[in-house]
Amino acid sequence: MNELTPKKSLRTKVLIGYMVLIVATAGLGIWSVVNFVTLGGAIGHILQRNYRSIEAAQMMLDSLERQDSAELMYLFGQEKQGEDLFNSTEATFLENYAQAKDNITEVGEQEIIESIGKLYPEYLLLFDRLRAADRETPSEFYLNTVKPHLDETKKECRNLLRINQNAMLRAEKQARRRSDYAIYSSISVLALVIIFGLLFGFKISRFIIRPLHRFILATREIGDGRLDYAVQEESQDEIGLLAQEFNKMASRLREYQAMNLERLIAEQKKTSVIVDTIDDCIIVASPDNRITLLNPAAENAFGIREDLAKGKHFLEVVNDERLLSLVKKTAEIGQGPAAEEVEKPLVVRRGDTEQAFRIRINPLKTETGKMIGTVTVLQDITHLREVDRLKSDFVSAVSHEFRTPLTSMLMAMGLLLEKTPGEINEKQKELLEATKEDVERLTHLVNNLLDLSRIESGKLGIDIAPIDPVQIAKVSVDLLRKQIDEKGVELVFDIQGLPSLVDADADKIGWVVSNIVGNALRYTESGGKITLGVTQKGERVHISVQDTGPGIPKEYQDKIFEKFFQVKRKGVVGARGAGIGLAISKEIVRAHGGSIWVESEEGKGSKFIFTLPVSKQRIGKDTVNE
Amino acid sequence: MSKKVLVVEDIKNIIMVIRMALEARGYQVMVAQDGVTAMQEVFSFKPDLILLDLVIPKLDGFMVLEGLKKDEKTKDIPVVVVSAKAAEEDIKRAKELGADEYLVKPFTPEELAEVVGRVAGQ
Repeated sequence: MNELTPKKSLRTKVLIGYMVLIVATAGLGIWSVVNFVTLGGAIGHILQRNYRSIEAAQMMLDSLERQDSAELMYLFGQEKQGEDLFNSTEATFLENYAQAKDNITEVGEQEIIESIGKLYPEYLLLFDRLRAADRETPSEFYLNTVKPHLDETKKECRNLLRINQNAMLRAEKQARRRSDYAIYSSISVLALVIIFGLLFGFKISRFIIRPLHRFILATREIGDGRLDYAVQEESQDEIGLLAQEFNKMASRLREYQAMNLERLIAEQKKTSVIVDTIDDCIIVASPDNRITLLNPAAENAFGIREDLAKGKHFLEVVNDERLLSLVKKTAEIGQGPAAEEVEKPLVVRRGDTEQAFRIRINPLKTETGKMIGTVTVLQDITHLREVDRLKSDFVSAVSHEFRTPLTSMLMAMGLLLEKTPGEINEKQKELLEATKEDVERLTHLVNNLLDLSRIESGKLGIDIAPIDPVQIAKVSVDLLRKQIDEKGVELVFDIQGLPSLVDADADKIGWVVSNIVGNALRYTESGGKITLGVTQKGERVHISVQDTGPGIPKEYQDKIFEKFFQVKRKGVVGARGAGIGLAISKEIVRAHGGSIWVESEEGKGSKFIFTLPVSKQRIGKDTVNE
Repeated sequence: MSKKVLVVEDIKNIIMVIRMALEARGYQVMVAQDGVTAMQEVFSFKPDLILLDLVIPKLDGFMVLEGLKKDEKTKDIPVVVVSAKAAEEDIKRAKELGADEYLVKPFTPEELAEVVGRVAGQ
């Protein structure tokens, strides 16, 4: 048997219900038929019992009248015709008499028939005696004897007629009563069937609909997440089966939910262990900047336990306005701060110790993009800064240590070339010059190294003043003019409009321009072109140096601003710097609050661009220009 | 009469090249290899100019400079600091202590001669 076929199907139940209705209707029909049959019987009975007797009685009376007429005809001389009529009528009378006699149904009818049966033959004899008419005159005999006898016979016939008429009336009344009864009883039964039908219909619809209501309720409950809700249904029909399947479904949903919950808990545990294990401080805050999570590293760094910190305002845990404003902004715009905004580390002082943290802030969003908070990750870079400081110290020491031997080398080369110790030949001079050139290059490198370490350690002071960027650009390339001309490179100025004054250290920015132009020159072949552009874009002045050199591969474009980085090129030997000029340039530009980048396509040259903030003291421009 | 230059320097090679460069230009050169010797030579040699390295044994260059500039008898002798120390704070400090010129190593014979000639000629 199919699992989905219930033992007592709803269809069977409905069919049974219909059967009951059909049976009731059939009963009603039978009842009506019975009534009709009874009524028909009653009418037939009337016809059978009385109508024929009445007809016979009527005919008998008729016959008697006609025989009376025949007698009168006879008396008035038409003897032959009278006799014929009398005789022919006699047969009719007897025929009807026989009919009446065969149909004795009423009380007293027998006696009447018997009386007629005695009177009529006598009447016939009297007619015979009239015809004989021997003693008296026929008229007198008729009047005195025949006529009274005839009247007597007629009277009996009339009695027969009346008794049957009365019976017929009674039967008719009875039939009418029966008909009335049939009508009323049929109406009653019909009414009963209708009431029963209505009740049954109501019952069966309720019987079907009520469980459905329970299902609607159950579906709503389960939809609302109350998966332990079960439908109570004990019937064994389709509804019961549906309930079983429904409850099975709910139970599977529960299992599924439990499984999901388990997985979710496992994921949460995993995440929580990861968060706890991470050395970086992790601070999760709500969109209104209240703490919702603090990992052990953060607890340690800020000296507050997570349970105590929860719900507190961000500033109460990390007392740093800048960090708060970054977190706030992240929560507001749903996007973490830009790299420049978090470049400066967060410094936390606790007693004598000082900790530095690199800041990273990410918005916490649901899949639908709703903001649910911010995650601030603070990476402890105290040791990194220490390493950086050691590195700077090292660079400083090395550059210092290089200076002394460089001095004797440079001096010795100089003296030899001055011929102080004595004459030298051309080849010796050539060698000495080459060596001197390299010693000078080394000196340049040492100077740059030292500059870099000083800039990085913030020791290189920047002397800001409102200056004309165009003038700086022009002055700084003047120093390179000779080299540019010697190499056969064209230098073009591209000054867009009238750029505002910038707040900058003229020496340092001049150094940056000549460094970049020097690089461009190094990589530009004879016949190439270097374009030095100055243009203002909003509150920034862009200074750019474009060359027609080999360009810089994409993967190197960010790295070239790192210390000691050089683009490695196949087949290009020489023409190499120390790889720190751009690093220094970057530090200088950043110290001015500007940015520097490169736009380059391999084979098409490079364009270095750096920006400087427009001076706040614009009025100073005229004085500087003088 | 040739001008007298006292070179306060402890590194042999440097002493050699400076001496050679200055003597080639007609200066009379005396060398002191530490701070204490330098102070004595100032009085015995009576130089017209002192080339002073900052990193020297016994008394360091700053102390020598300070001593020279405090003493009425030596404070007018021009002092050119010749040092590998290129930090701005060192230059500033030397200038505050009375150094007339600060020459950062390395340098060429011409540069040295130019500075010495300029300072000694004053």
